[in-house]
Amino acid sequence: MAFKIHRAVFILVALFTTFISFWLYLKLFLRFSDGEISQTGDAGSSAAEDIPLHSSKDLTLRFNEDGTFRIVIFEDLHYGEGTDIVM
Amino acid sequence: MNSILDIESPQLVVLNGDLIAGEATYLENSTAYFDLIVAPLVERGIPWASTYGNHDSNFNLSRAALFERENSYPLSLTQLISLPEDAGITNFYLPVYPSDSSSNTPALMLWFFDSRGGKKFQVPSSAEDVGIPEVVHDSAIAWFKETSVRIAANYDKIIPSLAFFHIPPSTTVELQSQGVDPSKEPGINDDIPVGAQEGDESFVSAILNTPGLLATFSGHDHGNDWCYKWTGEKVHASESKMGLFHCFGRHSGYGGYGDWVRGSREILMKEDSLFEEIETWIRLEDGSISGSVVLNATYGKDSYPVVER
Repeated sequence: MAFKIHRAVFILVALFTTFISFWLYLKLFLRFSDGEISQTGDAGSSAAEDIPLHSSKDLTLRFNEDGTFRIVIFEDLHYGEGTDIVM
Repeated sequence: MNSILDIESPQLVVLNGDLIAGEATYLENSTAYFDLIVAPLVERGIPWASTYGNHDSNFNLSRAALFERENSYPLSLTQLISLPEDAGITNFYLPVYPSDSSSNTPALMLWFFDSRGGKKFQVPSSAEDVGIPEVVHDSAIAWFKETSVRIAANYDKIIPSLAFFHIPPSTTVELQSQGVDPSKEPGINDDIPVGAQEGDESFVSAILNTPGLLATFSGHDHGNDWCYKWTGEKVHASESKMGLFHCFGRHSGYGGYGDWVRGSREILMKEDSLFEEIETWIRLEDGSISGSVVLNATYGKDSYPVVER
């Protein structure tokens, strides 16, 4: 009797494991098909790597139609360094 | 940077040196910080041009590697021209064309210089020649003089211009020693004496004797952001009614010394009054404006509110 119970539990666990594996595989396949995951395997890119490096914008500098040209200067950013460490 | 760009709408951003603290980075990823720097500009599609500062060269960071990283971005307008290696990288110019798109003659020229400094790449600090002089190289000065003359000849006119470089000229030291008037030359004036280029007589001479040059802009001294009018007999006077000016910008970064409110210098050029005036101000990180002035014939005599922070 005990052997039959153990056998039934084993079969149930095996069926459950198979179902979960199939479900996970199916989910992964659908994400791959939708292009959500890169086909090159580059699924873990950082925010910096996500920056588009190409633009079709005309970069000729020109005064605006209202006759103005505006420049903003950023300087002394010191990336990589905390405040008040070195000059 | 984001908070300022949400307010201002520039056609060009100038990254005026000390972009990365080379002494604090690792060889493997020292230039990767550049991606973080320009992310707000890429997001908004704003083109930029850079000068490199003394902190952009160190044992683990080279100007050449930084330019290679920068040059991968189409929005970067920074150019590499043919000069000796010792001249650094960021010596170039950019033309700005009139609003009338049928005109092929630039209305404004923007000059960029590499004031160098810092330490040589992968040279141990114990070496005698590890340091790089903090001054624009003679070859870049010769190129500037020759090219500016050629441009004037090609277009048969003097084109007004601005110049950008990281380390200020030595003339700022002399001016500061004479006293910066807080109401006539408003701005913070806490770095005393100014840290300036060394042995820059040739560069200063070239600046003072270039027709059409209206103003120069530098960073480097986090505690100074005033403007002054260059004086002296050498200053060209033929085209400009306003004189020649030099302005410090505002410390923009979270790195670096000092606890002044972060910000950036804004420049507004008007096509119909290029030889008459330049409007400029500091936009602070909190959105407020500091040190708004008009660089014109009466600058140095006009009174402005005193800058307190």
